[in-house]
Amino acid sequence: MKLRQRLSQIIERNKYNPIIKIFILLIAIILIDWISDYLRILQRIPFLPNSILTLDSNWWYAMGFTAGASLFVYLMARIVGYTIGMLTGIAYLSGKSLVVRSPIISVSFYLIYNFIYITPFAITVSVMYTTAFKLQLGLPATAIFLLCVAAVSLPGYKIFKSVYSAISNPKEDNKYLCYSLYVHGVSKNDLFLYKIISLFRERWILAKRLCDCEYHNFNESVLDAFHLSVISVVIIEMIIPNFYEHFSPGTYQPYYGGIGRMIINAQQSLSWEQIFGILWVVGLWDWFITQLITSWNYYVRDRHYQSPSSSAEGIIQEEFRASE
Amino acid sequence: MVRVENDGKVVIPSSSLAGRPIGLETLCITYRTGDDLGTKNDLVLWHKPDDKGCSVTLLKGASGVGKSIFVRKVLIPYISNSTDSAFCYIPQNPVHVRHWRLGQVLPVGALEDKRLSALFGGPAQSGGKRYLGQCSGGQIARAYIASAISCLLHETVTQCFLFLDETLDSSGKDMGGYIEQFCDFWKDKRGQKQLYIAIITHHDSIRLRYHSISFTEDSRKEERGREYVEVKLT
Repeated sequence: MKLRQRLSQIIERNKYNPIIKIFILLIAIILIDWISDYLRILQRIPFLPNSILTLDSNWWYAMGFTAGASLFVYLMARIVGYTIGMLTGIAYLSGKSLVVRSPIISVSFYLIYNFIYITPFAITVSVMYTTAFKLQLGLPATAIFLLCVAAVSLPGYKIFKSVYSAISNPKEDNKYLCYSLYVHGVSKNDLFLYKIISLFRERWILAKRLCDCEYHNFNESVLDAFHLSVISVVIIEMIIPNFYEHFSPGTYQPYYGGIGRMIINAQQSLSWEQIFGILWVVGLWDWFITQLITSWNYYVRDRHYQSPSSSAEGIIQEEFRASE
Repeated sequence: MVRVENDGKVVIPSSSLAGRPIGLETLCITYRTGDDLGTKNDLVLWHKPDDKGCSVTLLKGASGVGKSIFVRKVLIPYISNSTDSAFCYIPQNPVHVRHWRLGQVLPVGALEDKRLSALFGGPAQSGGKRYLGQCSGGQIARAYIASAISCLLHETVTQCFLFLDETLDSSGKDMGGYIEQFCDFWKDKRGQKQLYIAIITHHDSIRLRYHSISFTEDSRKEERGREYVEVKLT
């Protein structure tokens, strides 16, 4: 009972520490592996973590490409989704908190973007691939263009939505508070250009404050965005044969198709162990990056909301137990 | 409608309030003050500002009589439609965005002002870098008020209105001192502007110092099957 309490305390105290989480995961994998070794029958089941050991070098190279592409897509999504969300939201804002502006531009843009999001991603990729061909883009440019499409369509929308809804549909109290707070550097200079820049800056800060009031939604959206980045990259790899060959035309390697294409090939040869092995690797990759994102969110925002009283309470309880 | 008189007094005509259903369908605010002859006077919202350029009014009453709704649905819409006035409103339970730094919501001048920076605690030098999460609830509330006053100081209008919805209630007996400090800060930088502060409060400690309007539940009525509360302002 005491050991369990101690373990829960350690886990609770380090819930934002990625190293502890990795340690716990490794222990879990070792335990599963040990049990599967012990019970010989489990070895016949292909979906256990030890299926990772069946992956040859081609799978790992392919995973490298997929991982790199998913990181690129995620970073693009954060930049593009956030910027579009802020700009569309700013179109909603006006100088006085009760004056309602005509939100036609924002709403129209939101509806179009929503339509792109709900369109099956495979169709979006096919259409955009054709568009890139018609625009006569070079092969590397086509590949980058498709990754950008992936960034905007799925993960970018998640971030856009959280930012846009925080600005366009804030709680009344948040709206009053943000409109009432001081904004730095807003000058009443009469120069037209200066006025425009100053006004834009003021609105940008106001929009950012409204987002800050709903920071939980934003934290969730950036995590979802990474999941969607991986998903969108794998879908592109599945649809476009040898996707990464676009970066190095004329050379062929089996891993240029990324894990998406290699999974299709493995399905045809019924290599289930390898498919489950790569799924474990993808899961671990996704989990590792989301832990990094969670830690960053914690450092930037969440840590300020952890009640100092709860940790003090923990220390007092510990001291009390020690005195016993 | 809200009217600023030549002497700086702000009034609301009794006709604007008589039996006026506002906000909630169940609330009806009625202004009933009048002399013996039955003529109704205008309700004085704020008296003439003092030499600091500030006029403070307390809005008092039991919970649920419609103080906040009166501010939100009657006063703020009038003021926001006026071209020569600006307002700031700190709601009753504002979200404490603890990852903001004090320097983000306050101007440099406010942090250098020793009297004002004392309200947020800590030395003024490091004040700007402090996160709101490192301040107490009362300090955050005062930081919001100082930020709102700084915001009003930057407006190019002559009448500024600040509504504090129980924002200073946690300060207890110190509330009066804080209000004076904010008025002093305003006095130094205001130019020609007047500041009208409305404080919704449940505290009695500063009642005698400022003009106050009391909200009292007068009666419960029923009309067309809907029950509503009639509130008297005195």
